[in-house]
Parts: sequence; C-alpha cells; structure tokens
Amino acid sequence: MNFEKATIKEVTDFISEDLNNLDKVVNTSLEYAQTKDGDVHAFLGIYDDITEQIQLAKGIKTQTNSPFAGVPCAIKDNILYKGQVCSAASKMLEGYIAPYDAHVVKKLKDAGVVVVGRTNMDEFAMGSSTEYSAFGPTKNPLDLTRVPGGTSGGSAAAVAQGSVVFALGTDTAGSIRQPASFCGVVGMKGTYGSVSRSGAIALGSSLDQIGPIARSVSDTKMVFDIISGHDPMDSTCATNEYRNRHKRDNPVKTVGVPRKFLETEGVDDDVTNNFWKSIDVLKQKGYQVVDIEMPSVHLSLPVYYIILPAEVSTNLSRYDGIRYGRHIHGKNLKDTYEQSRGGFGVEARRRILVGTYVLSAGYYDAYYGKATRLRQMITKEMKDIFNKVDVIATPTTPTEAFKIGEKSDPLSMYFADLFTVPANITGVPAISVPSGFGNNKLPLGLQFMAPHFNEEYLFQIGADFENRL
Amino acid sequence: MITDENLNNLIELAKISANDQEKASLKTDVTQILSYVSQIEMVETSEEDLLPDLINVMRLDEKPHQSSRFTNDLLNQAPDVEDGYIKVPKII
Repeated sequence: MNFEKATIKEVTDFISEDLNNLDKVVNTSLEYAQTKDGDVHAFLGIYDDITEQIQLAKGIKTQTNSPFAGVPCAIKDNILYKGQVCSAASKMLEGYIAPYDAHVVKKLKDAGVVVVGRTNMDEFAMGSSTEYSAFGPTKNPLDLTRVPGGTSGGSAAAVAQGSVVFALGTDTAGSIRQPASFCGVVGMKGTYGSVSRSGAIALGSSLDQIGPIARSVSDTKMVFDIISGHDPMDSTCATNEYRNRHKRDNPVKTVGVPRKFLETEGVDDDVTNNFWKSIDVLKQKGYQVVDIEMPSVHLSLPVYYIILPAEVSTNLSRYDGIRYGRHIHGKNLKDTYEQSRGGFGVEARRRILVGTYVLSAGYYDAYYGKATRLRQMITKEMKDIFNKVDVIATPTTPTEAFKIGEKSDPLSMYFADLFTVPANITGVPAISVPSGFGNNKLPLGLQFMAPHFNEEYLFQIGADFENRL
Repeated sequence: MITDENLNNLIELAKISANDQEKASLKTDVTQILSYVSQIEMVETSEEDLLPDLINVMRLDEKPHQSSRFTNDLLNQAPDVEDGYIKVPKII
C-alpha cells in the first residue's frame, strides 16, 4: 500500500490483513507529519494521546470492524479535541486546552479514527491563504512558493502531502473547497445545518460548517456520512425528519451553468478553459447542461463582507482576557480588555472594526439590514434555479494557487471566494473536485452546488466526474 | 471614507488597542472594505425579501449535565482564580 495516496478503504484493507498494521499505518502518518511537514507547515501540533487512540482503534476494529478503525486523520485547529491544545491559530488562544470533544470528534473517535494532530489555518478562519496564521504560514505541498489556500490550508496540505488519509476543515465562505482545489484534493461542505457545529470555534455562526477534505469523492462521502446528523447540542443542526423532507429521489441529470457569473472580471482564462473542458466531459457522460441566470449571485461577496464581520465582531467579543485565552494584566478592567485583545492579528482587527461599524446605530439598516434582505433574495433565486436543474457547476476558484505574499490588500484576497461564497450565503451544500491543471501545472477544481440537504447529488456527479480518466 | 474620529470610536467600542501606525493602515483597509460593500445600497429589494426564512428551535430547560463536571477544566483556563471564582479587576 502506498500510504501517501491511499484511500480509506485501502488503509482499512491493509489493517484487516493484520491488526499490527494499524500501528504501522499510524506511525507512518506520524512520521510523515513530522518529516514531510518541515517546509510545508501543515501541522500546528501532534496530539500526545496517540498510544491510547491506537488501543481504542484496535478495540473498535476487533469488535465492530469499523471501516475507519486506525485510519489517521487531522483536524483544523478550530475544532475541539478534549485535553489537547486548540488555538484557532491565534495568539488569543495560544495554549488553550479544549475542555470537551467537538461533536464531530466524538463521531470520529467512535468510528476508531486516529486523530494525529491539529492543522494550521488563518487566524480564527479569516483569510484565503493560511498566511494570516499567528504561527506562520502553510505552504502548498505541490509548489512551496505558493499558498495552499485557506482558511483550512493546513488540512488540505496535510492530505495532499500524504501524511493523513483525510482531514476536517471548516467552511464559512469556501475555506474547505478553495484549499482543496489549490492542493488538488476533494473538499466539501454540507448544507448549513447538516453537521453539528458544537465544539467548532465560532466565526460566522450563520455560515460555518465543518466538512471533510479527502483524496477521493467516495472517501469524502464516507467521512461526511460519519460526521453529519442531528445533534441536540447545536440548535441549528437539522433533525433527520427535516433533512428527509428535502431529499430528492431522481438521479442527477441536469447541470446548470451561470455563464454570466463566470465572466466576472478577474477570473483567469486558464480557469475558464479548464471549466468548459470539464463541462464537455459531463456532456459526454450524458448530463444535460443548461445555461442559468442568477442575476443576484454576484452580490453574495459584498453581502458576505457585511454579514460575516457583523458575526465576527459579536463572536470574538468573548475573548476578553478574563475567563480564558490571552491575558495581559492592565491598569484597570478596560485596559486589561484592550491589552489582552491586542493579541488579534490584522485581518481579525479589520473585520471586528467593519462588523462594529455595520452594526452600529445609524448604519445598521443600510448595511446589516440590507445585507440580510439581499441574502434572502439570493437564496430565493438559488431555490428557484434548483426547481429547474439538479446541480449548479462553476469553477471552485477564480485563479490557481497564488504566490505567498502576492495578495497584499484585503479586497484582492476576498476575491478568492467569488465562486464558493454563494453556497454559504444560501446554505446549500457544495463540493470541489480536482479538474486537472492550469498552465503553471497547478491544480484547479470544479465546484458543484446542490439543493439543500441533497449532498448525495454532489457525491453522485462528483464521483462520475472523478472517474472520467 | 471613515474619519479618524469614526475609527477611534470603533476601536474604543471593540476594545482593541492599536498604535498610530496600525490605525493608519486600519483606516485605509476599513474604508476600502466599506466602499466595496456599499455597492449593495444601490440594489432594490422587494417586500417579500424582508422576512428571513428561519424558524426558532427551542428546547426545554432540563437535563443539565452533572454539576461541576467541567468546573475544574474551565477554571484551569482562567488567568486569575480565587476560591473557585474567576477574579475580575475592580470596576468601580
């Protein structure tokens, strides 16, 4: 078995041959996470309970033959793993020890997955390149002069460099799909409400979803099936009854293409050419491709940059230096707050200030109120389109992986989310599948969006597209 | 364009410290971001867009977890603790 490229099934088959192979697999993963990671810096930390995890995985393998027992994975540094550091790649939470397991971590543990460590990210999941980590950037394992994407850049790089079979990330505007695309792996986020957010450090509570990054569509589906499902600890996590009401039975047949959206200024020709080639593949496979109009979809990005900062300024107000996290003892309470909160990096500060502005009296209606109404409008438009087509296809990103340090102003960085952010604004599920390479031999991705709670559509057409070769 | 007064007010409200150099670049960035998102002001919305398509999810306030189950773990994270309480600087 070539561990660097292995799928979950290949790893499990290897372990089924001999239970001692479970140790071998985990040790290989740990070795790679240390040796291969030197230049890449995908990992922020390796957990210190691996021996216990191996024992538990062996027990689960023997008792239940779980298809995940002994499979090594990594999780983004904003997902809680009890007793281990979880810092959201921020000085504000440096050394913070998670007091409980996130719901998704519990699910992974129950299945016998071995979580080897936590991966780098943009601070509090704000950014598109992992350059905003307070602990140094992650580099793209396919080209060390380029970014791996972000904010789940460490998770995507860890899977791409071969040190773990899959990883979990979080996606608020494309933070799973964009790095997956930049690193040549598969990444997906489910419908808002499909995976519990309990134990994920909140960024934009109405947008965040945890999801898998893996080497194949079928692995992605396996992980998604394990981590999704109702959880009473997250009131926005849908009940099974609610999910089932949205499920569609017919197989995917029609693919909508928002042609005008693809012509947005700044989208590379490389990306467009690769996209139309992918569409030809889908046509050859028998899918019916139709042009669709989404007149408001281009507003998703500006709407996002009102709603998200508003939620950020609210969510990050809890880091006050009093109860946990960075604490600087000041002259008085106010000084203590201000000095402690001085640990926020530049992008976090920008968004806290923008959020404070758009929520302040006098501006609330013009910004936050208006953005909320537009979000409704875009969502309605999306739902109407899904009455006509089964899935929507776009490129995952407007460009290939860019150079480290290339995007110096915030707006050019924000543009990286152009195609991914509509799925978060509207709550629909979306997947990025590798679609070949651009002129610089860097990977590109094809994105599919599906109707709410129809993740199966993404896996169907995603696997079909993946099997084109 | 936000003024220095606006910016100082926001920094005060958000309780984040910033030196003069940081303030200058934050002013440029925040202005740029606000001018970008202001494009939504021009877009017309209809009455039917006013109501978000959301439902309240409530649960009974019952079955709490075992008392003190997390107390030590949580207190261990606090910078200043006395007799099982988190110490806060004097306010008045």
